Amino acid sequence: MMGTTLVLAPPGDRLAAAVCRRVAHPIWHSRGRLPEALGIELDPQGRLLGGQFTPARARLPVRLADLTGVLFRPGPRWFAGRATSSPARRFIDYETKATWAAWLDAMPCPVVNRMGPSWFVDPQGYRAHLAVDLARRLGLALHPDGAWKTSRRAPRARAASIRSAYWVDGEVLAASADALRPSLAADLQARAATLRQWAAAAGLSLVRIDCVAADGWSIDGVDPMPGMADEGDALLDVAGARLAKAIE
Amino acid sequence: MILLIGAPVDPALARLRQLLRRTGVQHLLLDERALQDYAIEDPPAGAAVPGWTIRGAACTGRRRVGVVFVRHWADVASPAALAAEQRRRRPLRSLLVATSCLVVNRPSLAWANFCKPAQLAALAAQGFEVPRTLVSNDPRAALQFVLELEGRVVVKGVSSAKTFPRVVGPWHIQRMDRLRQCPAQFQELIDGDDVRVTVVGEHAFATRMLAGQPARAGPADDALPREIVQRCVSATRAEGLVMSGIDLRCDAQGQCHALELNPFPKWTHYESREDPIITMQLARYLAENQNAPSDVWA
Repeated sequence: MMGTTLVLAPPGDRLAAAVCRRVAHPIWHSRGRLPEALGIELDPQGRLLGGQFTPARARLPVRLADLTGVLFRPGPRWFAGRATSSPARRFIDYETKATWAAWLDAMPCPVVNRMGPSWFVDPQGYRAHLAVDLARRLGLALHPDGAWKTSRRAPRARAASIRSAYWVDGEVLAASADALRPSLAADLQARAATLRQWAAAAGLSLVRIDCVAADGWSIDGVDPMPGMADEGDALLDVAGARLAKAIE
Repeated sequence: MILLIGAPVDPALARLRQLLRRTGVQHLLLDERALQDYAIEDPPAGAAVPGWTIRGAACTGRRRVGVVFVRHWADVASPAALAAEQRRRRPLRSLLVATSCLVVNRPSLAWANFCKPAQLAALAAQGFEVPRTLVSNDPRAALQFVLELEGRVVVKGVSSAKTFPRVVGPWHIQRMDRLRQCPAQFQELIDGDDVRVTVVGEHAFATRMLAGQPARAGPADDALPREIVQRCVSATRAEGLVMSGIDLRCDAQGQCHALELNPFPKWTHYESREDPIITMQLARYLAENQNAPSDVWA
């Protein structure tokens, strides 16, 4: 039987669309929260015995053993904001996120990105941890007012000084706005071996790295779930092709 | 200098402070209940010696911190209060993520417990046996699991939210449909005694639970097979932690299943006030592992 590639992303996600164009048998699940069946089973050695995922409007669950890979790009409303009104809803929100985290952790196929548990409950802390770890490995400073710490977008005056590049499964791609001044992408590509180690340790195949140039680069922030809505078609096409190759 | 972060009303932190005071080990407390009383200043941009300065209460910003011990205190009732509290904690959080100081335990590394099945897999990777486990929101899958294990199944939460494990009975079977709203974790019921192993660095202490109450704590080597103790120490280190509380269920033959690893254990529940051997080892560890040069001043 041909393998299936599972794409979890909201409707209109341009990167997900770019990936789906490149893989032979994609299933695009675009509904947030809980699928009809979501689960895993572990044996006494912690190995995956089986699992479930029933995409929206599907009659039968996808067999996890048939999956070639997963693109995991949940929409902004898939988890956040629904469960803050009562303890019961907060509990359900927490349990649902933990179930997704368990499902991702147990997937026997490549996952883009295989988020650690903390991404679900403390995304800002998770991004800060990634940025600090990356800065240490690359020997770069952390920008004192960077998004790694404040979790806010940079003020307009500073935003102009930020350069962005994407790590996409082993290759550094300049963000569209920086494509004509690709020094950050070139500098990061020269350190690809270190980036590869960092990304592998963190379970990341797709990440945006934002830096500020001032006596060398300082890291402003790291986004393991970059939106990419404002990126150009050319970048999305290249990124989509690389990720499709990784998960098909 | 040891910097303690938490609330003085936390019994575990209180006992540690008491012991540090009694043994004359220099320490300071950053009281998380009064974060507004502290100024946590980041390193200035381009500073030759980057570092954080903490001022407020007993913190003067002039003493170098060699090690940080943190037990976050959360006592907020409403989501709005929680959001405000999280905003207040931002400077402290970036310090705890980025400082080169040893942090026991660094909160950014302590989230594995949030997803218990992933943590079980990590414990199994260290060589532990774990209970057969199903996580699902599908009532049919859950019923099938219960049938396969002939009803010897415990149901509990998937995340670190407080739940009380229960043996699956008719009450649960009749309400399996509720899984569609909220997934749950089902686990094979393992026979045996509950044992809490508290790890501090390379040392481990075992406390057997008798009728739900902790018995006297002692060196884990005296109570458990050597390889089990070593696995507890390795599993703690593999998570990037110094301290942990690992729940085991051990049968009469000495075979132990790992159930979970708590990154912020309330260790005082598992030692006696008269013989606080875990607190003593923790105090010793903190006193002996102060690294220099430090980038935190308090």
